[in-house]
Amino acid sequence: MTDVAILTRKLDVVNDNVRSVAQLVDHVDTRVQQLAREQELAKDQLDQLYREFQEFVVADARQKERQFATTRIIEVRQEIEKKFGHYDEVRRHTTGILQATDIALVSDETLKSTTEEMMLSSPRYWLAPALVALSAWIRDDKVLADKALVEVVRRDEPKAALFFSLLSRRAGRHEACVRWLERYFLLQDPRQMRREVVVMLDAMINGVFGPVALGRCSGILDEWVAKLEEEPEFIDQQRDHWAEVLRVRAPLADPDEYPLLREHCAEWSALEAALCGARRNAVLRDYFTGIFQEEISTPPTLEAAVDDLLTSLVSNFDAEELPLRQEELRLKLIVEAFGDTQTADQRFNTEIDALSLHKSFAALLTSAAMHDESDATPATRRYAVARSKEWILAGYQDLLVHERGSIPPEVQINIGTWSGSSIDGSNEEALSADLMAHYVRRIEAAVAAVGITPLTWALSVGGGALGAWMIIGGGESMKIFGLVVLMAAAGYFFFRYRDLDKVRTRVRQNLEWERDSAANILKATLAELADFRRELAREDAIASQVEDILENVQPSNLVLGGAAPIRGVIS
Amino acid sequence: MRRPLLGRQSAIVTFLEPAVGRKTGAAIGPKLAYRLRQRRSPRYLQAVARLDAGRHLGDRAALDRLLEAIAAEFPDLTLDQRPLGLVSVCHLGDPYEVHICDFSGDILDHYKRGQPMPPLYERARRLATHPSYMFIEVYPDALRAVTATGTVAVNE
Repeated sequence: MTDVAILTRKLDVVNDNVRSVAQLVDHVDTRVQQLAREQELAKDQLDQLYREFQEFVVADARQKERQFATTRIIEVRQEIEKKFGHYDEVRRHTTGILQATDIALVSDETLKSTTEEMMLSSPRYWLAPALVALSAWIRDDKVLADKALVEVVRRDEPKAALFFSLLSRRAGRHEACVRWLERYFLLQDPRQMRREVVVMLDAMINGVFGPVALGRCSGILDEWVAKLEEEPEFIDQQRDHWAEVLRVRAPLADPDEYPLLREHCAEWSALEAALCGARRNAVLRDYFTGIFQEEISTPPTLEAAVDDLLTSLVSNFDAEELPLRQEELRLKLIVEAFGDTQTADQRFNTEIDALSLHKSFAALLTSAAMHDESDATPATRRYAVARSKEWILAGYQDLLVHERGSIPPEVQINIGTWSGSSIDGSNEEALSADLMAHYVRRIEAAVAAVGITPLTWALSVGGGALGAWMIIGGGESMKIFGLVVLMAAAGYFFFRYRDLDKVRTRVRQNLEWERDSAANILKATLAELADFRRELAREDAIASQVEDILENVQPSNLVLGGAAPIRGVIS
Repeated sequence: MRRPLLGRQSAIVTFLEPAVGRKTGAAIGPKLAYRLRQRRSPRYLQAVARLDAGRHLGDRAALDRLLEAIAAEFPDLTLDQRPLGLVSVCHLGDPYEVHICDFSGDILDHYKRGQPMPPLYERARRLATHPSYMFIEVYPDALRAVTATGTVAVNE
């Protein structure tokens, strides 16, 4: 009995120890699971940190690009001022001489000496001999006027022709005006036009030229367009060019809008492109409406109108300034794109035509219609849109059909391990049910997977076998010790087995929490998708308004009467 | 499963006759692109509109009239320059979404929402359901979206 009592006590001790070991193993198991969750969490946080870091790098680079562009613009403007600032004096004298002569307040000597000084101070500049010719003409000095005229024609014949055409018009010499214009037209090739032709357009559209010159101008424009259209590729090129010019007008999406679609929709980049494209419709509608509703102020007199044109001609179209003005434009676009050089360069490539030395007449109309750098007046801008409307419409409609065809009809939504697809968020019920079914399957599988671990099996079976071997083959003390080992193994197995229910409950609870969270995310994502489709449809519908605006424009209604008693309508 | 409504046996021999389109001096390159961009005629648009299968379910004559209109619309183009077929909204009602008029096989097929179409036509599906376009002409290398007024936009 004593031995049995001793054995019983020892067994109790062994049982206590087994219980302690089981509890410790259980604790370790809990810690291991906790560690796994923490590792998962850490991985998610690391991924998020990486994404945020990448975003930060991009944002930082853009910020630096923007700062650099802002500083560099000032330098470029200073350089323009430094290199070409002295031309300003010559430019101001153009209208100064005319207006002073109008009211006879300046002596011939002053005119002569001033213009000749400019000739000395501005070598190679075409305007200096032009002013010498002008002052000689005013003083009736034909010999000097002829000599100066030869020089100005040598330096820049097209500008000279336009300059003297406008001067003749100002002086009421219609025949001379038309002859200079004819000379100007002879020098033009519609495939390789110079920028200052915008001044001719301005003069025509603002009603500055007399009826004869006006008719000639409108005729020559038709000839230029017809000549361009003779080339088989022209229409295609124009359409593609306009599609690109309009494409880059798409506004950028706000990085904070539709956050759930951004995170959970596999086709978000295509959706975002579609949304930006659709929002462009309102931008274009407002732009074209603005062009046709803008109030156009006309100068009070013919002299004032011509003076404005002369100032524009002598101020805005000097080829030497173009490289710096092109750089200024690119920097300005970088600032406007918040440092995004890729977007800025895309816009720059479409707007560079406005600052090119030579371009086709069609490209010139495009620049006048769309870009401030063309230096076109509002009336000319309006006319350029009207004249180009067929090309604009063709490019716009191609752009629309391309973008509408690229909108994903159905999108895939990924939330955790579940994924489903929706067209417009209207199948919420079906998707929610699918998500629930997905989690039912996951929970069942996860709960079913909870069982005795291989380690537990190994310890239990190994311990049991060892104990049995000791009982069978050992001496008396070994038998007792073997029994203890056997019971310890059995006890350990029992405690592990009894703990399985707790583990199953924990696994189920974790997955149920994940399921509820996924269901909420799904509902919110589908709501965003529904909002997105509504907004897309609303913005897309505005395209018809843009088409209506362009289709209803008639170039023949856009030539102004002007300040002088000049009236004319292009037939 | 797609649902063929009309048989493949052609009654429009003239349309399929190679000699019709094989004229010398047919447009190529930019000229062809310009030609295919021209506004479609009212007769052609009306013929397509009559394809509304709600009224012409299984109507061989409606398809024949359309094929005649196609031949009349592009008399100067060779067969391989003409559209392979059209895709437009199906008015049979839900679940039918679009139908294909395949000129090469003279068949009119209706497709349900989500039902796959032949790859050449599938790319036109989204555009065909857009309210701005009456139908989409399908070419091997491009889609041409035609509005109710006959204007044409190209997606290459």
